[in-house]
Amino acid sequence: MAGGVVEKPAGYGAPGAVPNYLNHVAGIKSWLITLDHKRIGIMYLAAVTFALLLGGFFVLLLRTELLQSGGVLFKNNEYYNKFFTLHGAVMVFMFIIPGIPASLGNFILPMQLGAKDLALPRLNLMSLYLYWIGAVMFVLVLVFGGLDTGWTLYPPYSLDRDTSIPLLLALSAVFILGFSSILTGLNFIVTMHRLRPVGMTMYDMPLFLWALYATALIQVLATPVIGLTLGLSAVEHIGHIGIFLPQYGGDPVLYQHFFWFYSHPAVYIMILPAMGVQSELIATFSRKHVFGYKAIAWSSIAIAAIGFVVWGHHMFVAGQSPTAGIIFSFITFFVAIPSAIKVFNWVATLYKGSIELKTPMLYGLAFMYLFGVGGLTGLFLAAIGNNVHLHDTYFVIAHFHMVMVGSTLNAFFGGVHYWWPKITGRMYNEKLAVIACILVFIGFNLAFMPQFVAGTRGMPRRYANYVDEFTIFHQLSTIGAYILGAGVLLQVVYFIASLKNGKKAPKNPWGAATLEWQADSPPDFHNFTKPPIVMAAYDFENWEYDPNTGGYELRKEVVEAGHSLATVHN
Amino acid sequence: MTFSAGMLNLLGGLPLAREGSFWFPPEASSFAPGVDLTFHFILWTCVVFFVGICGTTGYFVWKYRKRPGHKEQKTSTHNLILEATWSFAPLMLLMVMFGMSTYWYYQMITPPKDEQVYDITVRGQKWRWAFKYSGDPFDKLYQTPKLHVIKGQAYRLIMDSPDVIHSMYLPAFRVKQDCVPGRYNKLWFRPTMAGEFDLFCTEYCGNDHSLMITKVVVHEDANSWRDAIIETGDVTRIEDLLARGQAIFEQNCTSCHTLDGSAKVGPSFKGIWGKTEQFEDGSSHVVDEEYVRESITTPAKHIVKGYPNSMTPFDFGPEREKYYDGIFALLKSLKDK
Repeated sequence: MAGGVVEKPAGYGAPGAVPNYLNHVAGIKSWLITLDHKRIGIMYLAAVTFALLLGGFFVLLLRTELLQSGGVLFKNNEYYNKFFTLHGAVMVFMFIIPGIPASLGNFILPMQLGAKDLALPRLNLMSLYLYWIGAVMFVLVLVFGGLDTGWTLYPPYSLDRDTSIPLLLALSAVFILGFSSILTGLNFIVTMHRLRPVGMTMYDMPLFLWALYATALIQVLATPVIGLTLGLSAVEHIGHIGIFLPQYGGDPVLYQHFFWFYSHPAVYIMILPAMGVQSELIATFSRKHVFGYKAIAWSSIAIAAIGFVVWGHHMFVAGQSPTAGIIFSFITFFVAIPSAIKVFNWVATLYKGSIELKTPMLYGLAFMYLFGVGGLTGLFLAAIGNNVHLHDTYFVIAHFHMVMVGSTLNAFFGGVHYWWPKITGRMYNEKLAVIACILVFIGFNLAFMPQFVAGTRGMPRRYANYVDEFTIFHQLSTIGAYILGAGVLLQVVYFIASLKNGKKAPKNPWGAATLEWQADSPPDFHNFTKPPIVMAAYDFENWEYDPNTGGYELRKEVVEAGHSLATVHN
Repeated sequence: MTFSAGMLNLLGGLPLAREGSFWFPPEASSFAPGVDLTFHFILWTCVVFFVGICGTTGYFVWKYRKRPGHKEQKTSTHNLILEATWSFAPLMLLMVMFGMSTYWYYQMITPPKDEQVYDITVRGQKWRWAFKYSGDPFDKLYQTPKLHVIKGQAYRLIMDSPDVIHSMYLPAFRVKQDCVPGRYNKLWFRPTMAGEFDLFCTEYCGNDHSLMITKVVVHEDANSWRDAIIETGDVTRIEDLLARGQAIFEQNCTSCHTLDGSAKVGPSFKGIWGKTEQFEDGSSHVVDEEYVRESITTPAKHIVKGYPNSMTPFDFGPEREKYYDGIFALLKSLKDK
């Protein structure tokens, strides 16, 4: 059933063209009702990129406003408050959470298993439609006058107001996007259990898949809680039933517990897939077996598990019991261990490799640095006595942007560059890509490094105005944001140009050993025209460079034998 | 402080007298030195690891760069001893960080017991701050827009909000606490440096959140403190508050409670403020703002030992803070001297 019944393989493209999933059937309808994971992945990729550009546009407005205390752009604070709310909501719910899993994951996951599609293709299409519905509702929030509650929607501020259509739209949008996330996660779990090829155990899967597996566990287990919380909020907002509002007998801190019980694990929904991409990039471009495969695989699961019991660290100063605070602080430190294990293993993977600095690898190396900053600054915040000072300051802003933007967005870029030849069949312009990568890296640093210092000196977050002392930090940060924006725009330009003018991509331009590289670029509608040879994910010996195609080909001996030459177990 | 002066000071993190260091505003409370020390311990530990990771990465990228004649070599795919070492050694350091930081946090939640702690009521509301002082040396209740305190004295702040959540942040003191509607949060500190320091709202509270900025003024001595409060404060007569409390009492409480020490259905209010009550479930709590509020809104939660669970939950509605101010004034006036 994979692929669906509505698409006719008989049509297979124009005469002479190599059939692939893009040309085997044409027309807008063929996209809208496709069950092909690759096309769904592409539509997700387009949608999350749109969300990224939209959220990025909002933040450029915000950063421009902050060039001077008192503002340079908006008439009053209301605009600032609405734009920072939408920046956060769009980036979190429409870009970072679905970002890597729904776009790259959708496309690559079945191919890394040598499968034709996800286990449940119709569910996959449904989750895309739910995403679109949620996204349209967020755009309607803007049409109906915007919302100024912050993406966290803390009551009483969010709920204690006249019945508000933008608020109800936003609550419903997150609720619906949550279902999209749950269905994708469920689909991934089922696929990894049921569609692995003969000979591939869980421990033979590429680490990207382990990361997606851990992510999917969180999506399935945690997302219902935010759905329920926002459902309760809507009921309270409309019906005045006391849950979170003190005037009806509710408790606003209860909302924070519910909210962070989802939203803290959600932070790991954001970073785990990025770590998965990172494992692939580091292995491929150093042509080395990943060091400590099992440690990396299980550290993903460990991060997911610990992530469920640290939510209280968002509420150290909210009036939560001090004992609970100390316990949450203690547990939070343990997140650092599996994260550190991953980083050490990536460094060890480079040892005695043959390191090629192609664009995806540049993003991989930038990740080590940016995740280093983002991860280590988490320690200051885990420490409860220091958190009291740093909570809700720019230090927190800088920390989570270094993790979410510095690391996740960076890995998203790395992943898109890495799989772009496979997805589109075209190579992008390497020179422009390197320039964009450098711009993005400088942008990240200039945008967020000054914010750490502003934060320790006391600059509170969500401020449209500030005391003069902080001007220099804001100005540096704004310049950084502009440079970052320029890097991202450059990417969009050369990626779009590559579709028309890019060199035809070989099957395996990087010499990677995971199964998707045995398919054509772009892949056939059925992914593989003949069953891929199942072999260890990081056994690069099986591939050799072919100067004729400019890419790597499976060694003749491997093709003849039908299996890996020297199997290196993960 | 100029930015360049800060950059010069980056390495030491030394306090630049009144202006603070590169990282921090001045250390103006008794918590600040310890919190900053912990910060610098974490900072330098992180610097060592960060330089190690990035340095090793950079070295490997250079040494093993792809070039003609260079080929990758197989190395072991895992090494239990190495991996266990780099998992558990950092764990030890993390526990030191946790210990140091928690030690200072413990100071923050434990006001001194062997000296007079002065109470100030803090009300955060859209979009201004109100700080209230009563008792010695004042015969009236004063409310000021800036927070006035004396160097060296210990203060306890009782904080609430009539509308949405606010958060009072004193960067120079390294303390912060939310003002949550429907409950009374507490915070204590001891200022150690005279001067004026920033006071921010750090919980987003709507349109003018970023204008909810004021100052904490640390006075050298009690006289200038008293004068400043009398000069800048709005006055509420204590008698008015007491009368309000009295009226609420007579309307709502007299069938079960007394003011003269004799027990009726419920405990008498005489001398109850500040006393530690034993409850039916074995726990105990000091009678303070938060306990009194809880006993009115959810009386069944903690039943005083020896009394029946028979009170109906009560809510004063949207103007509840006014009522509570009266009740607290009444209860405080009945405190045993």
